[in-house]
Formats: sequence, C-alpha cells, structure tokens
Amino acid sequence: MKYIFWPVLFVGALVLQWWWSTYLSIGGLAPQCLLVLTVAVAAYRGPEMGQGMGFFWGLFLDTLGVHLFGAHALLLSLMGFLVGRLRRQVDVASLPPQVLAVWVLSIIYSLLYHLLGLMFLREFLWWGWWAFVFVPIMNACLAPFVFYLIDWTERATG
Amino acid sequence: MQREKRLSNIFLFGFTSFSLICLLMPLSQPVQMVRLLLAYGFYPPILRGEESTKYLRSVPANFLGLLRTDQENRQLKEELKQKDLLRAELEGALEENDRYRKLLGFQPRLHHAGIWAQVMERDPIRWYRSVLVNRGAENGVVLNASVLAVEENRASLIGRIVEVRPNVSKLLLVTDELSSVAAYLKETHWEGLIEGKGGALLRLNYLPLDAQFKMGQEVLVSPTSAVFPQDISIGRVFRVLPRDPFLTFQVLEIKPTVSLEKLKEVFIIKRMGPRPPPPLPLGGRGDELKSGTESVSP
Repeated sequence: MKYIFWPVLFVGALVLQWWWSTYLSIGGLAPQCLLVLTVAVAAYRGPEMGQGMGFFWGLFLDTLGVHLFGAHALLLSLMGFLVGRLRRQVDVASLPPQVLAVWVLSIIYSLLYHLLGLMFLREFLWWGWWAFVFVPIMNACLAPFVFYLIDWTERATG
Repeated sequence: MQREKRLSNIFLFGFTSFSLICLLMPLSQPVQMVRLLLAYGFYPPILRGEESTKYLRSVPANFLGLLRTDQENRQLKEELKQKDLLRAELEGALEENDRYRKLLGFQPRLHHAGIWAQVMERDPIRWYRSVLVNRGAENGVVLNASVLAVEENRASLIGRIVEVRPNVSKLLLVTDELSSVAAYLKETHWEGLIEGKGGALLRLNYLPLDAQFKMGQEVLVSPTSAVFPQDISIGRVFRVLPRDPFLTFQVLEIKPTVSLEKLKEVFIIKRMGPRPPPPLPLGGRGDELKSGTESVSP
C-alpha cells in the first residue's frame, strides 16, 4: 500500500495543482497545493522525503512555467528540508501549528521567489498584492485537509 | 538521527546545486535537455487530466442528450408503429387495387347485376363451409342470392347467401355438405347434382352408368336450377369415382374453378333478370360502379 501510495500521491498532486489552478481559481488565485503537500510530507516523513517530493513537484511547476527554471524546485526542496529538520520542534498533529506554518512558509516562499527573480532575471516577479495576501491564506485553509490526508496515510500504511 | 541529517544535507546539496545550475544556465543545452525530458514526463498526466476533465464536464450534457435521445427514440418508435400500420394498410390497399384492376380488366358480358363484397371472416373449423362477407341487407343482399367469384378472368359459382344482416351476410360455399347445385357437363350435357363434401372437392351425383367422362371437363350450372344462374362454371372433372354396385348412378369428383382457399372478393348477384344487350362501353360500366352495383357474367 505505502509503495503505491507515494507515486499515486506524487502524480495525483501534480494533476490536482494543475486542475485547481485551471478550473477552480478564484480571480486567478488558487492555493499552492504542492507547497502545502511538501510541508505536510516533510512534517510527517522527514527532510529526505520532503525535499525529494518538493524538488520534483517544483520541477513540475518549473516545467509548466517559462521563467526561472529551477526556482520552484529549489524553493520547495528548501521548504521540505526546513520543515523536515524542524518537525521535532513543532507539534504537527495539532491544527494551529499546521495552519500557521503553512501560512508563514507561503509568505516566505513568495518572497524568496520574488528575490530569485530579482537575482536571476533582474526583475522583481511580483504576483500582486491580492496573490501575496490571499494565496497564503488559501494555503493555510487547505493545510488541515492535506495534513489529515498524510496523517491518515501514515497510520494506514504503518 | 545523524544519518537522517547527513542524508538530508546531501539531498539539500544535490537539489540546490541542480536548481542553481538550472537557474544560472537556463539556456544551456543540458538544462534544455532536462527541461525537455521533464516535459515528456510531466505532460502526459496533465493531458490525461485534461481529457478526463473534458469527459467529466461533458457528462451532464451527454446525460441530457441521452435523455433527449431516449425521448426522441420513443417518439420515433411510436411514429414508426403508426407508419407500419399505414404501410400495412397501404400494402393491403395496393394488393386490393391490383385485384380490382385485374377484375376490371376482365371483359364481362353483363348478364347479372350485383355487388362486390369482401370476405371479412373465415372460420378455420369451417374453412370449406361458409364465410362472412361485408355486404348485407342495406346493400341490397337478399337471402339465397347466388355468389360468384372470379379467378383468371373467369367467373364461377361459389355458393349462396344463407343469412343476411344489415351490413354482413353469410355465404354458404358450394363445398359445404348442405350445398347442392343442379349442374351439367359442358361437352356431353349429362346432368347431375353437385353436392359439397366439406372439403376442397365437390361431388357430382346421379350421372348415368353408361356415360363416359373425361378429366378436366367443365361443369356448369344447369338451367333447371331454381336458385343459381344458369351456365355459370362450377368446376372441372377431377376424378371418376369407382362404381358402387349398390348405386344406380356414377359419381364424379369435381374441382371448383375458383380456389376457395384464397377467396378475397365475391360477387353477390342481386337480380337475375333477362340477359341484357351486349357489353357496355367503359363509361356505362363506370356509372354502374358508381351506383354501387356491378355485373359479371360467366
């Protein structure tokens, strides 16, 4: 079960991210499902898994985009590493830390992405205030469901 | 724990290095190759997702379309049933028309006035005995009226009316056991009495013992018949029955001229007046048709 689950989760997350941003975006805004998933996987499975999944999900996002090939991969693998390392200091089983962590990491992610744009493209890839404010909130709202899914899988697969 | 840290550091180093190379040299050939390979790997799930989404989004429309098609199908089936009925009616009418045309093509000498009637009911148990026709007292049919049928342009006696109702009459066929007709052989003029046998054949009785008969000789209604018009064909000699030592006459089996098994229309004679003048032109005959009566002759 667990050997099937992770590949399925990986591909399913790709499709979910694409589907949500294509069909369910509100005013062009959609939650960053892959970021939330990376945080959740790293929180439950450690930095290796978090980094690995985050890196490849990031590559997927980079492949879909046109600018900064490698930025999402770098940022998501960093998020996975960071959360994986800090997971023992945070109670990932309770709701407030999950929401707060995802909200903070979303803002950091956004800022770092803009910073990478400034570094490598010499322009600040600003998504706009709406996206800067609401996407982290959307991510935070999605976090409990994603954490619950990973938690349930952890318990189900042992 | 240490192993986890070390592994995660290696991963971090590897992933970061790779990402930075991609970020630093986005247009280099290796990075472009990687990008291409990743596109090959990542696009199919998106493509499948797109197809699935399209499929799912079309489900309500397809379902509605299916319902509409079902309704349309039911409606068309009903229409088809109606059309089938119409077609059956049309085929019947065409067949009837063909028969009438054939009948009208027959050049009759107008000896007997009467009306055409259709066989409307035939009891399988009494197949060779009686039939119901769709003309009755309101159409001028009277009791004991002679009934003829035409086959291959020849009129032949097939029976008489034994029961008359306002719109329906019962025809007793010559093949019924209760039927009897005074008849004679056309060539030899030997006269006898035809009786029905309840089957396809008739029986001609009371023929002299010394008379000779040939197969296929025609048998006509005798002028001595009080009920039927004379000289109308009834049938042809089918078989000479072996002589019965206890009988003082010979018996023949006669095959009716008309196939009673496939009787469709009959001609009921309303009056047997004196022989009218030679055949009328088509116009005159048409007038008679319009008045609901027609004539036929043997």
